[in-house]
Amino acid sequence: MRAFWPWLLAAVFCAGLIHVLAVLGVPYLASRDGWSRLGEMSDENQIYLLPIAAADAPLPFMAPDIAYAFCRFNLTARNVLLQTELGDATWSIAVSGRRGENFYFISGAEAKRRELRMLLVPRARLAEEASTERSEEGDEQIIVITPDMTGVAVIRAPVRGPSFAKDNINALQSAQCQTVIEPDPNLIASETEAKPQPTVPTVVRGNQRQSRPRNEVR
Amino acid sequence: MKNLVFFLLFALLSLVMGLGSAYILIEDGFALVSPQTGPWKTWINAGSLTADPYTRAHVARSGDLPTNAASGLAFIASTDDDGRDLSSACEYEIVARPLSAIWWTIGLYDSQGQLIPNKAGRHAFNSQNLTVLPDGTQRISLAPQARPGHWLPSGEDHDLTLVLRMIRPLSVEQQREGGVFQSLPTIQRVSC
Repeated sequence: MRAFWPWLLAAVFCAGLIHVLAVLGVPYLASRDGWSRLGEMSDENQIYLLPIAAADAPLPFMAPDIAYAFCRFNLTARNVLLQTELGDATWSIAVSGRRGENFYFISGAEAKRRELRMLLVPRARLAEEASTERSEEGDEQIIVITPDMTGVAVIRAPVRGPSFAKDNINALQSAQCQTVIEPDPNLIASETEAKPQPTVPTVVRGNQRQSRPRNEVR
Repeated sequence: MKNLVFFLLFALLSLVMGLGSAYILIEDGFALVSPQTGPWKTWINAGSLTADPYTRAHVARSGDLPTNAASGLAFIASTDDDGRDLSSACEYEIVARPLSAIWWTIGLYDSQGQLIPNKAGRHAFNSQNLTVLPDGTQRISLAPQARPGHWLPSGEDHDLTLVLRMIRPLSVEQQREGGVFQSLPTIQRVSC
């Protein structure tokens, strides 16, 4: 038995190494993290609404009295513009990275306006572009600098009671998430065609994906 | 032959201790990363850019999309104040006092984080629809059968989990005194 002591000490040391590697590796190996779960039901740079209090919610422990809309953004090609209404002080927008690191959050109480424009710009591109806090149309916009090219923006709209749910859904259906198309000086004549078309929010349930007209609410 | 047995034992022990301890700490956390106040536990660094590796691993495995603690806090309870598992076979009373946050909600789930179907379609109460009683408290009954006042149906044959969420809470430092969060609701078993 005495001969096993060196092996035991080595086992404790190796167990420590395995422990560290496992803890550090899980975020990169987990196949069912929030990003992946939402990815199963959504395309990038589009806004999706999740049904309130769904029995087959895509994420665990989703608040049943919050209406959620989300946009998985990918800034590799272009910046992304998120536009939404903030119904009251309790509404919020959280912008997080691919692995859940929440680097920006604003609530309706802080925004102090009902309509919000948020331009997502990757840090890597910031030096190359002149992004301003006013859009070409003159609207105020918040510039959010993202550490990575991919992430997710989540709009949370707390529901005061069941009778208010439809109002929240209607308000969220006006939200948009789309890539920003830079104006091409050679195509000024066809400016109207160059403008991005508004995306219609999609209501998703479980693993299904289904386009829905704006006013059709379940 | 003896060395081969020792090597196999070494390999087995290394894997079991290394992976087992990682699993336990990622799932349940420990005081530094997931402080507990009564029955309520929170992953205090979830959503933070500087989150510790255990919290990052926990968030990845759970599938949650957390906000950072300054923007929102989530507390999870799967036991009552006396440490007994929450079960739909029992009746509980949750006693809260208005919390310092823009908005907060208490929701009821099964142990997998899914809502419990019920005819009333009721799964949560929040700061906007909970009545404050004359003694300053807000009370919720957690029971399989209907109860007067604010009743959360707990269904049948479920292990229960309660989640308390706050949006824009009072600063974490102000809420925590001596490492303990103040003013969190109590969960008392009424009958079983």
